[in-house]
Amino acid sequence: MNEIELLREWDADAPPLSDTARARARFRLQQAMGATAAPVGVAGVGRRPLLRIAVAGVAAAAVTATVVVTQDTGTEPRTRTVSATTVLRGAAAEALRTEKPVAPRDDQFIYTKEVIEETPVSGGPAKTYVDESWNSVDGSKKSYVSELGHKQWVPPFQKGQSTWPPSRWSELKQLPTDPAKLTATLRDMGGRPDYGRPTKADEWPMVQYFLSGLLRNAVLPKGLRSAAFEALASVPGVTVLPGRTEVDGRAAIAIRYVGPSGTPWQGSGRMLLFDAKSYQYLGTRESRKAGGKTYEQWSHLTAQAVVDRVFQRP
Amino acid sequence: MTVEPGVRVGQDSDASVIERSWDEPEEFAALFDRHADSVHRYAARRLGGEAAEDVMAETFTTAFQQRFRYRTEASDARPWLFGIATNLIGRHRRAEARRLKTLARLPATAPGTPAEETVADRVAARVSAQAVGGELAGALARLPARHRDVLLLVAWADLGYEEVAAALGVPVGTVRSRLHRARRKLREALGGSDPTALREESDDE
Repeated sequence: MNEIELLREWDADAPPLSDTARARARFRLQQAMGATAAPVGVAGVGRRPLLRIAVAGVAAAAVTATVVVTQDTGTEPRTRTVSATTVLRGAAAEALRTEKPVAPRDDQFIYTKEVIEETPVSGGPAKTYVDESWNSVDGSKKSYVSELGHKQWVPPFQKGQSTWPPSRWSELKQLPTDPAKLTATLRDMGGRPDYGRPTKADEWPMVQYFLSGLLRNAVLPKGLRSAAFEALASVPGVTVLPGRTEVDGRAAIAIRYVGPSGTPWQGSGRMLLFDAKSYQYLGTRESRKAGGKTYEQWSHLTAQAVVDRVFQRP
Repeated sequence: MTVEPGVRVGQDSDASVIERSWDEPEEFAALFDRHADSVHRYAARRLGGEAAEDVMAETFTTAFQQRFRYRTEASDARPWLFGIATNLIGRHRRAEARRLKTLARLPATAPGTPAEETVADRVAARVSAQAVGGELAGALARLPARHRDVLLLVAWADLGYEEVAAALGVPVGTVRSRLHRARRKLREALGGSDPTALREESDDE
């Protein structure tokens, strides 16, 4: 054995890259990129590189805004004030009320059907994409992913690759369904969560980032989506977009995250949309730039299910 | 969407990922997904876990900031990334030296190795590389930093001569001569010289 081969074989006591360290490093890159695409699978599963979480460079104090809501019965818009906390707590209750318990096995696939309507900001016809995807539950199998009509096979995770949120159902099940505990767990990831410690100002962007990632999962263990909405309600900088919002002809309330000013949390504005009356979660609105044009996207899930095979529909 | 329809994930070159990231910064994350593990492993073997996490993260943020300077005729970004990482590791030279000295003092890990057996015997007997780690660490610690960089880019980053030259921005001839000297020192160390005599030599070519 020559000396180069010996060196190659010698591990020099080097520890492997942990999932937490990878997530932290990726987060730093994301911050450097000045945009925070939702935290996504390392292997590209569920990757939507075009998505941005939004932030205007304003201070994040105001959690209340005036929203114009059209009543069903009358023609006159009625104005009322609603806070992000109210909306997100309503969404949490709604999620708890409407969700059906599921328990996918690691060898199964999560089927999702997402409809994305894209409108050029400068004018022009809207285009609608219907993206059907089959994501391997534990990443051990090939997934089939459609993004804006661009379909592709995504290879299984390589050894050591992982995702946030965790893809293994068993790991998702370990996340607490108590909102405060969930926040502490995400904040202290990699160590033992200190439930008694208040979250510091510079830790909230990370918590928000992980919560948003979690909420992008089409299927979550019972109670976790509700807990994530509740936890998001406590994040400073989560605000209601002022003014009138409408999707598919119905009144909606848009929630966005506004990070601390002077940090790289700036972008065009990813918003979570909720029904103005029931506070049921509807989907996301955001803008993307491509080829010098800006598009506004409205995305919502129309179907999700646990299936045994790729191309199997519920 | 900037990805051409029909292109499978993982099949487009690093260069095309970087080129796309000029307009769509988020695209750059794909480069992280491809190379974070190997960059981290290289840094972890040189500096240990804690510093390696930092070096790896900074390698990618630095690369992102310098992406407009990337020459896209080089389809594989590894030489570029490892060049940045090596540069960053250079800021931790003292920590690296301390680490190597510690590793050099650790006893050989091969169980049942008779104390009287020489290093040369153990190498000849093809025992695990872990067993001669102390000698390897001692020899690395004595190498001039520039020679160590070349040697470890070959051994641990798996780069070819041309790629090392690109990573460090030196001529290929320089890579060859530094590697030659480094390998000779390593052979001498494994042949039985005293690994505890740790002294960094003058940093000549």
